[in-house]
Amino acid sequence: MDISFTPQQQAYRAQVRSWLAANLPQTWMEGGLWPAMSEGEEQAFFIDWERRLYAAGYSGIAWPKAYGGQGRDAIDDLIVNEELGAASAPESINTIGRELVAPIILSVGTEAQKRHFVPRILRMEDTWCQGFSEPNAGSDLASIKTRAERRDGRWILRGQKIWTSYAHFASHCILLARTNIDVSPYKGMSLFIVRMDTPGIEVRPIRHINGLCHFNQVFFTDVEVDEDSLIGPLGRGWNVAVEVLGFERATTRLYRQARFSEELRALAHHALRTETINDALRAEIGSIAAELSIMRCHNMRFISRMSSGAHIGEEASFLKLLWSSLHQKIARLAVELLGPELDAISPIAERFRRVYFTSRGETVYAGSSQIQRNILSERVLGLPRGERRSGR
Amino acid sequence: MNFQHSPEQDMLRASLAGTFARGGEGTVAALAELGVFGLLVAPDRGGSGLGLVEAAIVLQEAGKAGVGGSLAEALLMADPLARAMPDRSADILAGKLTVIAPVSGTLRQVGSRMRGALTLSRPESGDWIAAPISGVKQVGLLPFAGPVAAGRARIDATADSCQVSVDVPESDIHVVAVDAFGDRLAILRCAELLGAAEHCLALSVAYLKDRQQFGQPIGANQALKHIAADTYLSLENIRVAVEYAAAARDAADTTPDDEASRAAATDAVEVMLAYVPRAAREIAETAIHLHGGIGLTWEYALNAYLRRIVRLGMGLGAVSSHQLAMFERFAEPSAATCDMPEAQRGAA
Repeated sequence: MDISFTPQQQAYRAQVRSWLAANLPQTWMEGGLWPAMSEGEEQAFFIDWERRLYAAGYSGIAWPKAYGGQGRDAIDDLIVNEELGAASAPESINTIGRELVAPIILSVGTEAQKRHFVPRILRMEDTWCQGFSEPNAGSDLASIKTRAERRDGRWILRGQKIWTSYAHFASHCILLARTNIDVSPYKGMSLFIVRMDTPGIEVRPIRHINGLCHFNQVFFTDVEVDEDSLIGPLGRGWNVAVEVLGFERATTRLYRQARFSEELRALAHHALRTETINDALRAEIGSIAAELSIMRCHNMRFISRMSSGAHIGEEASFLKLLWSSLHQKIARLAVELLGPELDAISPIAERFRRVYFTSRGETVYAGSSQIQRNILSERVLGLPRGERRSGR
Repeated sequence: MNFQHSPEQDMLRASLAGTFARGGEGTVAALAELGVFGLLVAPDRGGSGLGLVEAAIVLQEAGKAGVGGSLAEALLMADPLARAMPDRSADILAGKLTVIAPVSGTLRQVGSRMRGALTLSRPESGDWIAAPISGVKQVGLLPFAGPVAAGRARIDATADSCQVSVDVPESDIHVVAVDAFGDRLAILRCAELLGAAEHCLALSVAYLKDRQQFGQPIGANQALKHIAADTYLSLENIRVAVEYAAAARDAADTTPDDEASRAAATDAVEVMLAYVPRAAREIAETAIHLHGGIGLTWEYALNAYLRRIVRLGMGLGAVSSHQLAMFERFAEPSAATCDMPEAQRGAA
C-alpha cells in the first residue's frame, strides 16, 4: 500500500499548478465569473477556456495519443483534475462529450468514429448533449419510447427527450432509442450519434431553478441519420451505456473532491474574516472536511484499482451517492453561514447562490440517490429485487 | 501511488480469517504461528518489522470475529517490551505476555511518583498495563497486580470495564519510548471498529434476506434496502479512512525526517477520529434496529459487538472535539492539511 506520489508526479503537479496560476483569467474569481456575464458570454468563455486547456496539454490526459489525448496514466489524470478543482477552475461544459461519448466511442466505436469524434471533443469543435431521459422514462430508463427504424439504409428517429442538459447549444446528441420492440426492454435499445442541426429536431429550453437555461426538451420528428450513426452493437445500447457510464462518471469526481474542498475553505475563511463563526458551524465544517478527505481516499482507491485493471462496477454508485450528498451539505452550510448576504451582489454570494440551487439537482440526475441505493443493496449486498419489473 | 493491499497482505488477511473462524483454545498459538505478535517487532529482535497496514488487517479481522481483546496493545507494545526485556522476547513473540492499554486515561509524573486514573477494559486479561505518560513520547508499563488491587471496580470487571487509580513510586514502572503511541493505538482501535462494523452489516444483510414478512424477505422492501445501502456507504468510508491513516503513519515512519509526511499522518488520524467511531457505532445501532426483537436480546451476537463498539469509541474521544480539531486544521492558513493536494495547502 503506497499513498505517495513519485518525484515526477509531484513535478507534474507543480507544473499544472503554475500553469493554472498564470493562465486562469482574471475575470474568473472565487470559482465564477466576476463581474457576472450573460449566459451566452459565459458559454463562449467556457469554450475558449477549454480550448486553451487543450492547447496547453491538460485535456484528455489518459486518452490515447492517436485520438488527440495525452497518453498519460490515470494518476496523472487524478493530479490534473485535483489541481483544476483546487484552483476552482471552470468545470467542463462538454462533460457529456468527455465523460460519456468519447469513452463509449473509445470502447465500442469504429476506428473511423474514434478518429473523427474524439479529437473534435478535445478541441471543443463538437459539444455534446445526452438524449436519454424521456417524460415517462426517468429512473426507469428502459421505458423509453423514442424509436429508431431502419429504412433504405438510413435510420429514422421519432420521439421526445427531456431534461437534456446543454441541448440548446450542443452540436451533437448521443441518443438512446428503441430499435427492437419485440425483445425485453433492456435488450432492444441502441445508441446513435445525431447532429443537432439535422432537420426535424426541435429544442425547447427549460429554465432551471438556478435561474439559468441549462436543460431542455428535445423533439425528434422523422429525423434521418446515416447508418454509420450507430455506436456499438445494435440492440446493446443499454449495456454499453451502463458499463461505460459507471466507469467514467467516477473519474470526474476527482475534480469535484478538490473543487468542493475549495468551496468549503472559501466558506470557512469568509466566516473567520467576518467573525460569523460559532462552534456549531466550526464542528459542521470540520465534519464535512473529514468527509471530503475520505472522498479523496475513495478517489485514490478508485484510481489505484483502475490502474491495476480491476473491474470497476458498483463503486460508481457509492461515489455518486457520496459526492452528491456531500455537496448538498456544503451548499446548505453556505445558506446558513452567509445568511441574508446570500442575496448580495458579491462574488461569494453569486457563487454560493449558484452552488445551492444547482446542487439540488445533484441527488436527482445521473441516477437518483434512491436508484443508487437500489443498485448498492441489490448488486453489492445481494438483497432481493422486490416487485419492480426486471429486464436485465 | 497504489492505495490497495498487496497480494501478501491479502494472504495475511485470509490466514487470519481462517484462524479466527476456527477460534478456540489454540487461537493465540495459531496467531503466534502466523507471526502476528512479531509484526511490529524489529527483525533483529525476531520480528518481521512490518507496519500498521498489516497490524490494522489483524485488528480488522479480530474485530469481525469479536475477539479484539487486547490484541492492539499486544502488537504495539511487543517491540518496546522486547527492547526493555530481551530475556522475555520468546514469550512476547508467542503472545504469552499480555499488555492492555487503558480505554482512557494517562499517567503523569508527580515528584517521584506516577499517578493517574485509568479506565480499563477487562483488566483481568493483562500481565502489564501500558499507559501513555502525559507530555512525553513515553509509555509506562505497570505490572498488572499492583494498580488493579488498588483500584475501584466501577462496573463488573469481567463484563465491562473498571476504573483504577494509580499512585505508585516511579521505580515500580518500566518506562519505554514509543513515538505517537496515541495515534497508533487509535488506528488499531479504529481498525477493530471497522471489522466489528463490517460484521454487524453482514449479520444484518443475512437477516434481511432470511426474515419473511408479508410473504417476502423483509430485505425486498426499499425502506430497509436503503438503510442497508447507506450503512454500506458508511462502512466503505470507515474502511478507507482507517487504511489511509495506517498507510500515512507507515509512510511517516519510513521517512522520519520528513515534516510533511509526519503532519500528513497526524491529519489522517484526525480525519479518522472525526468520522470512524461515530459511524461504526451508528452501524451497530442500525444493525440492532434491522434485527427487530432478536437484536435486543442479551444472547444474540450483536449485543457483544455493540458493547465493544461503544466502549472502543468512548476511549477515542468525543467526535465533536475531533470535528473542531478538523476545522482548525482545515481552515487555518498555516496548518498543513493532510491529504489535500499540495495546491490546496498553498491556496490556503
